[in-house]
Amino acid sequence: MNPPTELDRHAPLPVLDASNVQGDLVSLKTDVVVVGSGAGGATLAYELARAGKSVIMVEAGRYVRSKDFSEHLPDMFAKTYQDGGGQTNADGDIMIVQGRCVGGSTVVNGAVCFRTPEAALRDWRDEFGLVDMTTERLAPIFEALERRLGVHVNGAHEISGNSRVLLQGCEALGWSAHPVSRNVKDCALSGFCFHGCASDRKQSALVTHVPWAMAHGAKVLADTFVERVRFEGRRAVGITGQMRDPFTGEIKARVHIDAERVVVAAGPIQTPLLLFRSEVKDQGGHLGRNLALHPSVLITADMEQEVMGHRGASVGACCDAFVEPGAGRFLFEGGMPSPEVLALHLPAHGEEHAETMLRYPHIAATACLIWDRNNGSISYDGKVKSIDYRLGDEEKARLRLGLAAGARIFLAAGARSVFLPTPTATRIRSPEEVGNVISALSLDPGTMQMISYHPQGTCRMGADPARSVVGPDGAVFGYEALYVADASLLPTAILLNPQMTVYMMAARVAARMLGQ
Amino acid sequence: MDAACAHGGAAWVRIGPRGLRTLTAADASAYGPLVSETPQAPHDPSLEGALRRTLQPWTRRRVIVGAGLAGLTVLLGFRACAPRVSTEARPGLPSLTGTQLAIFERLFALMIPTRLGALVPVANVPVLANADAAVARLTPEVRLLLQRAMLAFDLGAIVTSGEGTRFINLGDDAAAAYLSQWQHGGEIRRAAYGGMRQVVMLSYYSDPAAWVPLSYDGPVTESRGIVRLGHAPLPEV
Repeated sequence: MNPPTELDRHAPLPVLDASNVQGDLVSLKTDVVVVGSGAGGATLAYELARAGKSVIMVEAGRYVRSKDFSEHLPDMFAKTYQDGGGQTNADGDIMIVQGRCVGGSTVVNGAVCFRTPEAALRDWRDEFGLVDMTTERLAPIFEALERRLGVHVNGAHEISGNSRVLLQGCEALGWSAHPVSRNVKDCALSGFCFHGCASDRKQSALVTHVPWAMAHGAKVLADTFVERVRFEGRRAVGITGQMRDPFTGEIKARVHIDAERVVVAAGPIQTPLLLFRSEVKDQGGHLGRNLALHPSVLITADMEQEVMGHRGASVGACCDAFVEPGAGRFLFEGGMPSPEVLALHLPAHGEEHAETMLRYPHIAATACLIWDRNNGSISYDGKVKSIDYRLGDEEKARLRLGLAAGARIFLAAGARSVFLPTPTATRIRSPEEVGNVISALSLDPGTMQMISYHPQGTCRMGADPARSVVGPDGAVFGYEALYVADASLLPTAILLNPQMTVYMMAARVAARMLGQ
Repeated sequence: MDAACAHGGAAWVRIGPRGLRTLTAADASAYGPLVSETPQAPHDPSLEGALRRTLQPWTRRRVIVGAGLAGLTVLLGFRACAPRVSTEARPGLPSLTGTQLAIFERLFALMIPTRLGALVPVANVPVLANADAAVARLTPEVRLLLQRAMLAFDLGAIVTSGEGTRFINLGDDAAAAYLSQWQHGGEIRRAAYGGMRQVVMLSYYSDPAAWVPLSYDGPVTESRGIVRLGHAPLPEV
C-alpha cells in the first residue's frame, strides 16, 4: 500500500469531467466504483482508498470549486442542487433540496451535526435486527468522524442574531434550547452555508473526504450520469453511464467501468432510481418505498429589535424541547433566508408587503422540522421519476403543534408579528391568536410551503430480506458485490439532521466491505 | 401517477390526468429510458421549479380548454380588449411578449409599491430585464404555462373586474382590487397569482440594486477578503 500523496490544498482537484475528457469513451477498471460523492459515497471511498483499494467515484453533478461559489442563491441552485433546486414531490408542495455536485448535499447543507438519536437506534435494533447499532458501539466511529471533520459546539461568536432570538424565546418559555454542533473550522460567519462555503470553512466532502480519498489514489468522474449497474447473473460487475456537458447537455463520452464491487450512494431519491433502471428486484418489494422526507416549514417573525439575521453562522442554535417520542417530535433550527426567498414567506404584495420587507433587519426565521413516518415512495415508469409523498394525519397534527410552538417562541422573544408559510403568509400578532389561527389551517396539499432537506429510507437496512432491501453489512439482498451507502439505508426516519448518521453508516459499510 | 418533476435542464413534459410529467431530453428516442435524469440545457432552475409547482393547476385539461374558450370569446366579442397601453415587444427584451411586459409593468407597481416607502424604486432596478432573462431560461412548457396564466389574468378582467376592460387598461384602484380577487380566488386563480408573484419577487429582490434599504449584505467572501482555506489536511484518524 502506497503512502498518500497530499494534494495541493489550493489547486483544483484532478477531476475528470466534461470540460477535460479526451475521446468519446472512458473505459476504466477498479476494485470499487462508488456512485455518488456526498456524505455516504465520499466517506466510504476514503475508507476504502486508504485501506489500499482502487476506487472510482462517479458524480452526476458538476465539479464546482469554492472560488465559483457566488453566494447568490439562484446561481448556486443552478450549479449545485438536484434539478436546479426544483425537485419536488408529486403534489408540488414540498421542495426537496439535495446537492448535485462533487461533495453532494454536504456542500449545500447547514453543517449541523448530531449523532444518531437513541430512540432511532432502539427502533433499528428492535424492529430491524440491527443489533450492533448501540450508542456505545457507535461512539468510537462518531468520535473519529467528529475529530476528522472539525465538529464542535458553536461558540458564542457563532450564534447569530437570528439564533439568539430562538434562544431568547425558548428561555422565556422554559423550553430546552442550545447551540448546535457543526462541522466547520474557523467559521468566517458569512452566513452562506446553504450556498456552499466559499472559503472552505465548512468541512464538506468537497474539501475533506473527496480530496482525502484522491490523496490515497481514488479517481473522480463528474458530469457523469450512471445509466445502470451491470451484472453477470446476480453479481454486480460495473456500471455504464454517459458524461454530458452540463451547459449544453451534449454527450461528451460514454463511460464504462468494470469493478469488483459496486456501491450506490447517490442519495435516497437517485439511488432507488438507479437500482430501478438496473432492474434490481428485492424480495419484499421495499425498494423505493418507505420514503421519509423529514418535512420542514419556515416560520418568520418581525421582531421589535434589530436582528440582522443573515449575518453569522447559518444555523447557530436549536430548540430540542419537543424532540423525544411523546414530546411532539419536532425540532427548531435557526436559519435566515435571503431577500428573494423571504419575500415569498411574507405578506403577499402591496404596501403591507413592502413595509414588512423593509423590516428585513428585524426579521427572524426558524425552520420547524417534523418527524414523519416512512409513508412515501419513489417510482419510475421507465422514463420519469415520481416522488409520491403527502403528510398523513399524524404528520399534520405534528405540524400544527410545531407551528404553534414556533409562533409562541417568537412571540415570547418579543415579536410584533409572526408569519406562517401559507401561500399568502398567515399573520399572528399575539399568543391569544395562536390556537385559533393554527386550528383553522387546512394543511391539505398545496396549502403550506414546505421544504425537505433530509429525504431518507428508500433502501432500508435490516436483517430480514422480506422487510429490508439491504442487509446489515450494506449489501443488497439477493445480489453479490452490490452495496448501498447513503441516507436511503435509514430504516426509520431520524428527526435530527442525519449528516453524521450517513457518515457513520458509510464508514460502517466500508468496514464490512474490508472484512472488519 | 402524476408528477411535477423538474429536471436539471430543458425538460420535456406531457400533460397527465393530474398534472405535469417531465419526460426526457430531445434524444430520448436514441437512448431510451436511461436519460430521464440526465443534465440538459441550462435554465433558471429556482424559478423553473417554483413555477412548475405553483402553476401545476394550470396544466389540467379543463383549465386549458376553459381558458382558451374564454380568451377566444373575449377576443371575438369585446372591443374593450383593445389595449390602451403599449403591448409592443421591446428591443432587448426578447423573451416576454408585449402583453406580458405590459402586465408585468403593472404588477411590479402594484406588488412592490415603492413610491411611498424607502424601497428602491422599481424604475431603478432592472426588473423587466431580470424577468425577461428569467423567463428566457424557463423550459418551453413552464414558459407556456406562465404565458397562458397571464393571458387569462389579463383578459379575465373584462368579465370580472367590473370595468369591462383588460387588466392592463384598468385604473390603479381597479387593478389592485382585481389583483386581490385573483390572490384570494379559487385554486386556478391563486395559482396564476402565485406564479406571477414569484417572477415579480425574484426579479426585484434578487437584484443587488434592491438590497441597500434592506441592509442585506449580499455576497461577502470576496468583498471582505475572507481567505479560502482550500482542502483540509489529511486527517490522522
